[in-house]
Amino acid sequence: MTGVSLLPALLEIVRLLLLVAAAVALLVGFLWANYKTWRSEYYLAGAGLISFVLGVELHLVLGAGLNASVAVGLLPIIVALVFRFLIRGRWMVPFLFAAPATVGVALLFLYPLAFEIFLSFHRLNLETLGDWIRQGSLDFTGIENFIQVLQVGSQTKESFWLVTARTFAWTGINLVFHVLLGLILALFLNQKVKGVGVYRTILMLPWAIPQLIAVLAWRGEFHSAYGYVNHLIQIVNDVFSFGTGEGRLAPLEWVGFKPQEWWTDPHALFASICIVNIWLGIPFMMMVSLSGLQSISKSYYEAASLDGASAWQRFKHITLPLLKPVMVPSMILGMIWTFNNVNVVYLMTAQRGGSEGADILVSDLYKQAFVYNRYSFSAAYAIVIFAILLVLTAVWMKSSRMTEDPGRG
Amino acid sequence: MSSLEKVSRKQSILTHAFLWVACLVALFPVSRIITISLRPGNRLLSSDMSLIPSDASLDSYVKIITEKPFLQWLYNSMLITVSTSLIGVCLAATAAYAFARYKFPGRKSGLLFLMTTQMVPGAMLLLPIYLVLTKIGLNNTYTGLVVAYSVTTLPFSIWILKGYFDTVPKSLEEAARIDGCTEFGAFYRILLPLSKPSLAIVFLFNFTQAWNEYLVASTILQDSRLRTWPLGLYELQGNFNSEWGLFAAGSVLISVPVILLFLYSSKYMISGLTLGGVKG
Amino acid sequence: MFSKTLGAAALHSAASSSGPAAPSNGGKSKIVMAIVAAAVVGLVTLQVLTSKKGGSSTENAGASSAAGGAVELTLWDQEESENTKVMDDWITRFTAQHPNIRIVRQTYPNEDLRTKFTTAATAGQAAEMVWGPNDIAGVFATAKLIQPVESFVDLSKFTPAAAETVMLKGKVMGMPTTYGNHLMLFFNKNLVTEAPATTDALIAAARQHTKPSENRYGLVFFQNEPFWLVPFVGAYGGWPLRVETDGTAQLELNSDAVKNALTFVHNLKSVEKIIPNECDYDCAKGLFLEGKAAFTINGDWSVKEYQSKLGDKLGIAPLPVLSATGRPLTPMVSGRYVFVNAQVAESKREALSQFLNFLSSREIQIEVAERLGRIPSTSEALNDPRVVGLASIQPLIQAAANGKPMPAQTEMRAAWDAMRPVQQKVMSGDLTPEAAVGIMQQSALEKLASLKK
Repeated sequence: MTGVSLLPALLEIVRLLLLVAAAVALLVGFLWANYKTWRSEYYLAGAGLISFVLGVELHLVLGAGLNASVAVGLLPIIVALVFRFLIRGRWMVPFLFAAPATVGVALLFLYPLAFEIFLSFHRLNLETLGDWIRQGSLDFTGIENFIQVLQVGSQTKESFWLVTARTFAWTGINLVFHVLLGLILALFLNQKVKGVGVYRTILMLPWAIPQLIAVLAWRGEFHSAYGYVNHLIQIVNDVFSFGTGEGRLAPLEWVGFKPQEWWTDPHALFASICIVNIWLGIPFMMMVSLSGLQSISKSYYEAASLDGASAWQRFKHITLPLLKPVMVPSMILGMIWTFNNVNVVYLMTAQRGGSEGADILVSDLYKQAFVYNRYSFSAAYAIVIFAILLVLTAVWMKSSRMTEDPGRG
Repeated sequence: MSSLEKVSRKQSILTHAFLWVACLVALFPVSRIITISLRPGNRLLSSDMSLIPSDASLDSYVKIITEKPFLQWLYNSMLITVSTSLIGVCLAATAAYAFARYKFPGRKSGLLFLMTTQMVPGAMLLLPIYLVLTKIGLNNTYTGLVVAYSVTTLPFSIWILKGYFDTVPKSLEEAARIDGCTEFGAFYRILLPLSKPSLAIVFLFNFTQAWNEYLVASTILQDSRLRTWPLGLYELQGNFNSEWGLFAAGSVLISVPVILLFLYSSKYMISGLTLGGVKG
Repeated sequence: MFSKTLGAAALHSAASSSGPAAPSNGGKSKIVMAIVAAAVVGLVTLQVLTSKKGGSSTENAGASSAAGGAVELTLWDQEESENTKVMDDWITRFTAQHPNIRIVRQTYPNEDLRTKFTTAATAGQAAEMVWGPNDIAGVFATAKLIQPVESFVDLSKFTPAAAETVMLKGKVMGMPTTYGNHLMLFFNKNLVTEAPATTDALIAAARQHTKPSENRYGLVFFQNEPFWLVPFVGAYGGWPLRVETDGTAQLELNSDAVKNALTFVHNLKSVEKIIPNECDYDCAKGLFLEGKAAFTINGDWSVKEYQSKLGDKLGIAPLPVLSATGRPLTPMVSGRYVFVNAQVAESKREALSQFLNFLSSREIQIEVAERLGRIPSTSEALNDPRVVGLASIQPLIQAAANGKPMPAQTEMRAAWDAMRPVQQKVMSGDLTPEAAVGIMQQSALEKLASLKK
């Protein structure tokens, strides 16, 4: 049972690499052939013939479905038309270079997108699942699913708007702390002190440790009785308190700094998830900031020092503006990733004893789809989430003018 | 502020103190995992707060290697991760080259589309991807998983590499082209060697994504012989009787190679992560 | 075979597309020929590579049974490794008797089994059999993913109690393999000598062993989980669902029984102070095994582990009588079942029936008691001297005697999901039991409706 099967797995990987290489070669070869022949007077006729043969082959010989065969069969002729009338032999090098990745991304993102849009206007849930599998037909429901998504909540159900607000809070809090703490750490690491390499290595650990493991370990620490967090809070409180017994004065407790029931109190749970995610995300921002700092030419600082600029002035007028182009793309990416972070929230809330009061949009989405099997509802939900994020990013990118190419506009 | 400055003694002490505290926070959960892995029995939660439990033992380590297909999980993860990273880097580099060096219709919208894919909630892709892979007969195979992984990480990889390629002066490639080099030759012989740091970053990014991934793997893989370590470790949590000791021991063993990889590549990371925004 | 035809067809199309071009541009057509040939080679390689995969994998057992005679059945479970070892042994013995049947067993942890099965079913890739608890029956049956088992196995051999727990609309939707999965009282004989008969006695005994400053508690259990609340609900005369005679179920969470049960459990923490402020499953288990808790409430699945850790210091007893009503706490009883995929191929039905009959045979059912440590589901095994004389299994049977079957209806799933967050709020003091029951009921109804929307 514990024996390791080495060879079959390795063989499959070799086969996989060959398969991918063959697919890429096929695709590039196909495009190249089109580039070489698009001028020929028989080009369209030949492509049509290939289309026909391919379609027939797929349907009759390989037994693919009629619709799929027609769709795939039409591909060569469509490509041929595009080559003949639109591309006309131009842009060969970039197209050949970009083709494999483009086709892969399109297949694995566009198809799901189309599928989810289809689902969101139909009714697929636990009750209709069996019939859908057997007959493949679904009721058309129009925008009913979207209306349901946007419904306000009740006493028993959290409203979409509340979850959205929480998600914004979550994204904002995380991003601010990631950037702020990451930048501060980077500034320290950028100094010439002994052992800076060791510090940097250790500080990268939260990034290096597999997330599943780190989150579950943290979760244990937030246990109210056996975790270190409450233990530590108690110690700090004891240090900063005066007197003993009934007459004890613990000023920190007045502002809410006291042991919490992290797993059951939704507010505390949300706070604990934020803490864990901040811990996980700092190293990335730290490394980005550090790389930005190290790429700033020293001559700027030399010149500024000669002009008698203070450290703060130098930071404000040299460091920050020069860091911005590095930081903004990473921050936008960081925002998107935080917004879409299912793993941490799911692992912290969905486990036994978890609470529902701390879900963000994507973790709620995951639960709706895979715990409650509300496929159509969650498809509509996903599209709404996607739209929110799209608008958010577009606004930010517009305001920071990130789309302008730094390299070659 | 800058590295040029002479650091005063006082400031140096402050720096050390601050970094010390930060390191403690970074190390904290790690030390707890090690503690749990050393506990005999399967206790995640214990009122015992000491770093090394008084009854420490290596039982969990022995057990996970001898009684569980742990090595198989590790091997599977290794194969899947390495091939994902290889394919991901190759496809991303060629595409990024096109985006960085050539003008063609759809270039800008293509870049925006790549950015957009990052905004798709992951849960939304699971079911359709599973259905596609099943349709082409790749479900329950390493191949299906690797294809899914390497494609989902492509957009980010392309962005990073494109950003970096932008900072490499074009003149070098032009010189090579004049010397009779083909486009591919210029890309392969001139640009790629100059972009090692960013390639390392992309490799590492692909590596960590694939190495840690759980949801897609659990959807695509069925055969227990094919399972990756996150699936295996998650399984150890069992229904009610979680095998926490084994879980922690497995975690420690799994984290070690990744941490070593990070250590090794950290020198590349600094120069690779600039995303091409700054020309130093 | 068809890679050859494909190659021929492609070559044919290549010849026809480049042929006419040859007179006008000889050099170019050669290039085209070469490209097409390369494409064909690529395609053929692809074919060979992929068809090789089809040959080596055994997914398509239906087709191969027609050819070679071997039927492959897949069984998915969520058991722990101790139990799967026993199951693998049974499978080995079964396949030795039936060399033409192959059984592939896979384990999925926790909720994954359910998610995995529904997802795989959408692509027609789900296992023929699922070995799991009864609360997935309602979900799978609603989605029409499983079928009644009456056509595969004779239902009269199972105890009525076991069969009742998977009854939906008068049909037995899964074959019971074990009976139980119920809660009972465990105690540490180092701390207490005998099990209390009533809750008052339990609280009194527990109070003596509670010292929060030393992390010692009289009683520990998974206090925020509705499964642990239900025995109290039963003792107050209620039940989460009322199952009608026609097989439908009504949610009954907005009841005095649920309110009283919530009050009682909350009082254990706030008034009697014999349980920790916060304690989940792992915490309860940890404290009990460390010897820091005198009593714990846990299920039959934990007996083996507790026995191996505590040995003869472990005491097992039925849950006590609730002093306020004089009725015993009623744990929910269900078990493990084998569910059959609704879309199982015609060619596999015979083999499937043979396997189910094997699992419910006298010998295997006796081993359920002896090796799995669970209560058998068939009458003949339950009355067999080997089981009757088994000291390890009798306390489980006694503890199950006061139990009530866990309804298999989808309503139960809605009830669990609705109760959990509300119960948590009651336990943390954010909600009174009076207000909680109304919210539970409403939330359960909404969740039920959302399963259908």
